Amino acid sequence: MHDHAQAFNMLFTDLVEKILSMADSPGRCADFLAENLRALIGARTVLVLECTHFSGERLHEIVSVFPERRRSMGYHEAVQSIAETSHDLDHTELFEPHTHGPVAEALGRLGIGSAIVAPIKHGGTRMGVLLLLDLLDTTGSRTIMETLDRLTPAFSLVLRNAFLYNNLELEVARRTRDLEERTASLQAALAEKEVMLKEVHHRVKNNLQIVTSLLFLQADSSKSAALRDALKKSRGRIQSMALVHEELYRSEDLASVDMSEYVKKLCADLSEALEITVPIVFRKCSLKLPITQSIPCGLILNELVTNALKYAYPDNRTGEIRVTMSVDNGLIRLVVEDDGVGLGPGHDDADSCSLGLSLVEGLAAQLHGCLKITDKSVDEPGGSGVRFEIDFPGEET
Amino acid sequence: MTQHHGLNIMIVEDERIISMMLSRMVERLGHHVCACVTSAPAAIEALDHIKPDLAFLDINLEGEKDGIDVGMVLRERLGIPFVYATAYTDTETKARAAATAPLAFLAKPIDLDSIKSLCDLVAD
Repeated sequence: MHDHAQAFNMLFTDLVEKILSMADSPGRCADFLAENLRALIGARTVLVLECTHFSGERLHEIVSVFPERRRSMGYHEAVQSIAETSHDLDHTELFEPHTHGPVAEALGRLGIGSAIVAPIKHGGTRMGVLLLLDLLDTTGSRTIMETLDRLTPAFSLVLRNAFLYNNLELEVARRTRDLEERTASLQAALAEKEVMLKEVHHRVKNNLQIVTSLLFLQADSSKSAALRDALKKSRGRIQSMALVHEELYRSEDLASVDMSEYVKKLCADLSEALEITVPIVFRKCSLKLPITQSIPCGLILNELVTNALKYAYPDNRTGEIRVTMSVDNGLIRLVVEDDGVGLGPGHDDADSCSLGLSLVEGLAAQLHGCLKITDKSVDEPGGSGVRFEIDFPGEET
Repeated sequence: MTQHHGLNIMIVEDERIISMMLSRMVERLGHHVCACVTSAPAAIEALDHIKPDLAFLDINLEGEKDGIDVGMVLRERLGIPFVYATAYTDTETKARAAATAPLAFLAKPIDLDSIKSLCDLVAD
């Protein structure tokens, strides 16, 4: 008997090692266990059931059955009832039919012989139950049960491990899905924001359009040439702002203005509005300015180019106006230059010009820039015309 | 430019102040505004009774139909020349508008000179 027990012990030790080596696959592990236990112990059917919880109820799902052809037994009401009863057991127990108790009655309902019920647990954690049904021989069952009690914790850990791993995978999948949903909703919000921003630029441009129309209507109903002229200047200033919003609306990021495109359009608009054909030379630059800088910059350009168009080349003098925008080491340089009559005598609209110049000074200051005005007839030998140069620090766009 | 009688001009624009300005500009050039409406259906209905020489159409109008729907009627049913005046046009809208063969596209802000040249073109 002692030798018999020792042989069993060795066999079970071997089983534990094999079980642990198959820890990554609880199904395969259970199959191995069921098949080997059946051969060792001599039971007609071996069932490994895993206890799961669903809506507060305990369910016992088949992890393995041997032989496979008796799988349907695992679903039998009587087997499920034995599994349920097994939760009251602390240790492996042997049950005989024709005795009292729920397990004995269940065996009767199944019409089979004695059975060993081994709870699969480690510490206080219950993972399932191992059923050896319809034993061929119950001699030595005590040794079998003692050994099973030492074997089942190892298998319980395998099941627990798989359970945790599956949960982890489910959790990862859930979080991935959450993350994807959140990314999608963020993208939708961003798209919505873009549409709204576009709408805002559109509205601002439209409203500025209405303001210029109002100024036109006011000028149209005025008999004073001076007032009409003043209103026309105001229209020009507002249109230079409206153009910024138009360029913003067209821009890809809806936040910065392509100054090349802006200067080109502004100069064309000004030449057309003033009906002056002095050529304006502008070299293309790749400079984008945010709205905070493009509005003052646009207004400055409007003043300087308008001024040059109107006063630099009187009496059909010929020449050109050069507009340059460049960026060097974060410093933006804006230059409007002509070879005309210069600032001295020759322009008779001193009052309105001085407003224009004050605006340029004020706006240059707003850009934290430095304004330099050069009268080339004074500062350069043989030179003529005026050069306005503003250096201001670029903002991060 | 040759001497001509004033043209009858239709304005379709849902922004009242802009249509007022347009009316003034047209009148100042010696033409007559025969209809000034704010929607496409109103324009199409008005065209049952009046026959303008030239129409200024805003593309984006209040309601489902837009200025291009009016342009289609003017082109296909009546053969009246028309001009689209609009602030913004995406490529798709522009292509749809161009398909109705307008006399011109007038960029906003609208200026008196472009109005004058267009009116002169039609009057000749």
